[in-house]
Amino acid sequence: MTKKFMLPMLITFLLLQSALSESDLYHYHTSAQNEKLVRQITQSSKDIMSYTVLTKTDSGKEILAVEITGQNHNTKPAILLVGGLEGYELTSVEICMDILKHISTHYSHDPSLSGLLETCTIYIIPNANPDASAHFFDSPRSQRKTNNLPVDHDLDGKTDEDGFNDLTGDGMIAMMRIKDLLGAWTIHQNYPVMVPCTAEDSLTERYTMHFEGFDDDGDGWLNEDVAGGVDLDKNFPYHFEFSDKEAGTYAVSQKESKALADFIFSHPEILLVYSFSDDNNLLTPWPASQNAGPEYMDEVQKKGVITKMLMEDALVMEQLTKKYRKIFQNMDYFQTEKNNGNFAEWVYYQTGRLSVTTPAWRFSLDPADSARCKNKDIEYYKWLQRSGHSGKVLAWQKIEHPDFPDQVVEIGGFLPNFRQNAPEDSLKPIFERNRLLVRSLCELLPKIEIADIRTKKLHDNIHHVDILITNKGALATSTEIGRHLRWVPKIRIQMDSKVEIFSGKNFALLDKIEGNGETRKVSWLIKTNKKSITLKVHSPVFGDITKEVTL
Amino acid sequence: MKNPIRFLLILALSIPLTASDVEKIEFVKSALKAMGAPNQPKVEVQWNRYYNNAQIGEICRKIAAAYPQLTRYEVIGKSYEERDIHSLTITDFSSGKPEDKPGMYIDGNIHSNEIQGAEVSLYTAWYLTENFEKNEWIQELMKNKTFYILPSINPDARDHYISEGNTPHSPRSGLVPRDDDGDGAINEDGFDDLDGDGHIVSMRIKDPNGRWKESSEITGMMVPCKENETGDYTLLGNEGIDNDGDGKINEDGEGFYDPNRNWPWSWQPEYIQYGADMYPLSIKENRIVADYILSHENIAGAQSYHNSGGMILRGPGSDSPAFSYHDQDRKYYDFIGKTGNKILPGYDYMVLYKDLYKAVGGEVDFFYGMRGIFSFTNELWSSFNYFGEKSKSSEFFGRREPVYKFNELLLFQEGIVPWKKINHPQYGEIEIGGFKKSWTRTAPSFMIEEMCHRNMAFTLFHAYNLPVVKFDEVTRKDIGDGLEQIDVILKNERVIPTRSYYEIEKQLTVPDFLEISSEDKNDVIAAMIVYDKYLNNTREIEKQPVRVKIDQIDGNATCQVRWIVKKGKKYTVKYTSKKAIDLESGL
Repeated sequence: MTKKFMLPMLITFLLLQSALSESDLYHYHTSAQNEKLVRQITQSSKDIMSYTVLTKTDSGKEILAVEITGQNHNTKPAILLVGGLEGYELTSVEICMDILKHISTHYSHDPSLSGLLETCTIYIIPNANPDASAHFFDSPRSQRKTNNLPVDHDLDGKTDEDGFNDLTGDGMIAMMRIKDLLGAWTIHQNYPVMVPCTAEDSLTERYTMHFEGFDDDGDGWLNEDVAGGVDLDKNFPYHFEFSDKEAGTYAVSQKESKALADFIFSHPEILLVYSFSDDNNLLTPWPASQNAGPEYMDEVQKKGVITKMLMEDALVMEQLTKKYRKIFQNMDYFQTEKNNGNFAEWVYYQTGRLSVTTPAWRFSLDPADSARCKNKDIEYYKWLQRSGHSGKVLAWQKIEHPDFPDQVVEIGGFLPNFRQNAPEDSLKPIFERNRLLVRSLCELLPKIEIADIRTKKLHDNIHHVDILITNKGALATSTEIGRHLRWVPKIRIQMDSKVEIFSGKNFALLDKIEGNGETRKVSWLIKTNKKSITLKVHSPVFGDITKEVTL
Repeated sequence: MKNPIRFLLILALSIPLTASDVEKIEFVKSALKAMGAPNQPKVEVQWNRYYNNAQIGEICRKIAAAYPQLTRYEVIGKSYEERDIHSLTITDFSSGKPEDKPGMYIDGNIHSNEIQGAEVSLYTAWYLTENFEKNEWIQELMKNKTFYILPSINPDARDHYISEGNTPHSPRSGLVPRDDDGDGAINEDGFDDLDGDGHIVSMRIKDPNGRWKESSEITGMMVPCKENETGDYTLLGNEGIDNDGDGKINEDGEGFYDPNRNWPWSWQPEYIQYGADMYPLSIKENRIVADYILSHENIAGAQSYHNSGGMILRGPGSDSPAFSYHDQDRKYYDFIGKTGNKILPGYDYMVLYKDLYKAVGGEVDFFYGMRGIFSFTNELWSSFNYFGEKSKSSEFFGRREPVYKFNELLLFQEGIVPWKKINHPQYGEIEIGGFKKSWTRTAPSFMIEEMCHRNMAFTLFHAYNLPVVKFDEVTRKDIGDGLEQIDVILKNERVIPTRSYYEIEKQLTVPDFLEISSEDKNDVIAAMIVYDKYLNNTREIEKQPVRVKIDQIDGNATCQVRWIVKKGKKYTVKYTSKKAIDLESGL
């Protein structure tokens, strides 16, 4: 290397070092900071990774995809990590960024990591939804999941005309309660938390609950048409919900969702997608069909809808579940219902890849607490107290509200956007566990090889040829549902073009080889006077394997 | 221009006429104008052939140049292969902005081989503009309505159909490449036009053990042998070669996806709906057109042209209750559809999923499901067109005998390539022959104009019946205490409501509003909707009484709003609707 090149490289290295200083690692970054970091990291490790810009959002932010190949740039099975789907949750973005940083800094001196990347590729889209996550840093801060598309939520012909208002000027959109006989909320007997009225507290003070705000457009409703937008994790075609205004006009209507969909469909080598959402199918697996794949798919075609994982794929998922439970021990938190039109289910049901999804972080429940209840707000309140974050609850304070001159209006309650994101001081263990999980997932990917080519001479120049292909990885080469979708590629085994074929065709196609050593055979009857022939295995997932055999 | 001949003669005072000009004028003067097309249109179009996409663009631009007060031409986007997607907006621009009037959307040719939809669409644009000046019914229609006409929404494959070797049924798909057989190669084994005549016909091979023979009654028509007969031929499918040596012929040609199974609302993936492609509107042309439709909130009616079979289809294409049409909307569909049976002899008004087949992700459902737009798909060209009798056969494209007979008696054998010998690289000596691509699903030259006109007439009937709302009555009455009661009755003078029941139920669109304004907003005390004026049954509008939300004004029905206001002030009421013309009245 000449001196001319050494200086810029040294600068990049120093910049990266400063960017990755320990103090900077464990906190939340803006999308501009993360975009810059991705560029710096991929530049400094450009022999093992690179990035592409999938699209630009309406506000001009870039959605970046990083391809980490290691030194082996050939086609290999891959996994994809997607962060930031749930707009108000940034922990997953930082998990993705951490994996990127970790690989960049550890690749050269961690043989198990460089070895792993010899057989697989890791794609990372750290933030699939940068317009939404940018609102994390807004002032006032509100709890917002959606991107910036103007939406007419209340169908009055105007968009985004009645959003939240920071009435107390503290930079936070907190809760607002209004004393009202017709209200359905009350204060819990033991905790300063608002709970729905039940028969037991029928005679207590009643409130209506809102977020902080005015009736900006004078239509008699509060905050009925807030700014934005579409919730990306509702904008995918599996069980898309047309009646939900936050789902978008139609599935994959958004630049963000289209970029994700096009990326996955154009990368058949991605066999597994790890995304972060409210759902956790490694802790609570999705329901599985009782029948084997082909029979279940017949049923699906008659009913016109698929609602269960195919039995074969559900069995495969168990292997992933085991790995997860080993790494993430004693997970005890409130599990939430998944959205219709979510990304993770769509990945499995409509792109035919394995899909795993977990929440990046949730506040944990105390196993020792005998007074545990089902009310999430109360448990969250207790967690805040327990974990030293009691400052995240605002004491109720009375205000004069012009829309309710004759009523008692108070602002207070939980501060926005804290419940969805891990406190910065707990990011480190979350990162470490996710590094382990991603490694384990990669280790399970299928590995195919030509196990043997057996030839038998039947007569001068007439040979019977068997090729045996084995999958030495734990996972099958494709999902069972993939066999019913056009988008999951087959493995093509090409006969030597210089022979005459009596039986068999120029090439044969295999649609799926099960994991843990299943072997499939393809046979030909050929005529040739050559001493040896070459067979080629070609797959958009596994690349090319060529083998010559002497006849 | 009242009298074009006189105009030309005046022009002649300054510009010398050539001999042929004079001849033309004389001819037109002496010819008796038939009902329908004008004798001397500003834009000359021959309605007896099928145009390619560039020619469609040229005709659109000519119409727009000849009638700038009635037409706006736009390219709404470029196809996968960078062809223009043409659109014409047609209305009487002098009477209001196009986006303020209820819109009738018309397109053709989503299936590329179903070519004649583009001609029907173009003919509609041409006929409306050429006849505007003289026909009062058309003037009234264009004063009240806007037409959005997209002749071909699959231009790449339309041109492929015209200029490359195809059957009457191909390509159907657009030209975005897809790996149909999952072998990792794309479009590697399509048809091969063995004789280079532009038509992909059938292949047969002489075979003493074959199970097919030629019909004894109709020359050239192949029929299967009966159980106790022996045959002479084996049929080998469409003209083609096994290009990739996989033992199959023509298994991966242009496309393949079905552009009309790729639309949101009832979309389902490939394992349920063949041709659905990767996700809703994954196909570039469809996304451009869908976004165009969604951005025109005034579109209230829609018509797509396909071929063939003589059908006036409405959705749903799905039998699932999740995608059923609203009970109350069906009567409007029936009214339009059944009138269509009269306008279009040999066509049947049908419901897609139960009368034809189940198909999800169709464009026809997109209109209704996304925006509550009343929409039809016409399947142009019917077996009725051969000899005035509709085929009862279960064969999808009708019985073959009349096709051969028509070919013999009216086309003088032009529609069929007679069997001829050819050397095939894999089969050896074979014969090829059969229907030309432009026969069996498309009208022959002398029937195109009638097909265009009758289908247009059906669409104009639909457009005519889109809402026209008027103030029926506006009254003020003193009710004492310094107050007055204002009653406003709105009437829809057409059959189709301002919003369908479906869009109301699913809250798809912005409702209609009736607003009152005065100098001081405190002048308006209260508002109510009167839903039975005889029994004085009313519903008070508590929130925002100055802006009353109206779900719809039903077909040939009224809607009454009452306000209590301060006496003696000046008030203005304003009606706004996405699918009807806005109105304003001072009081």
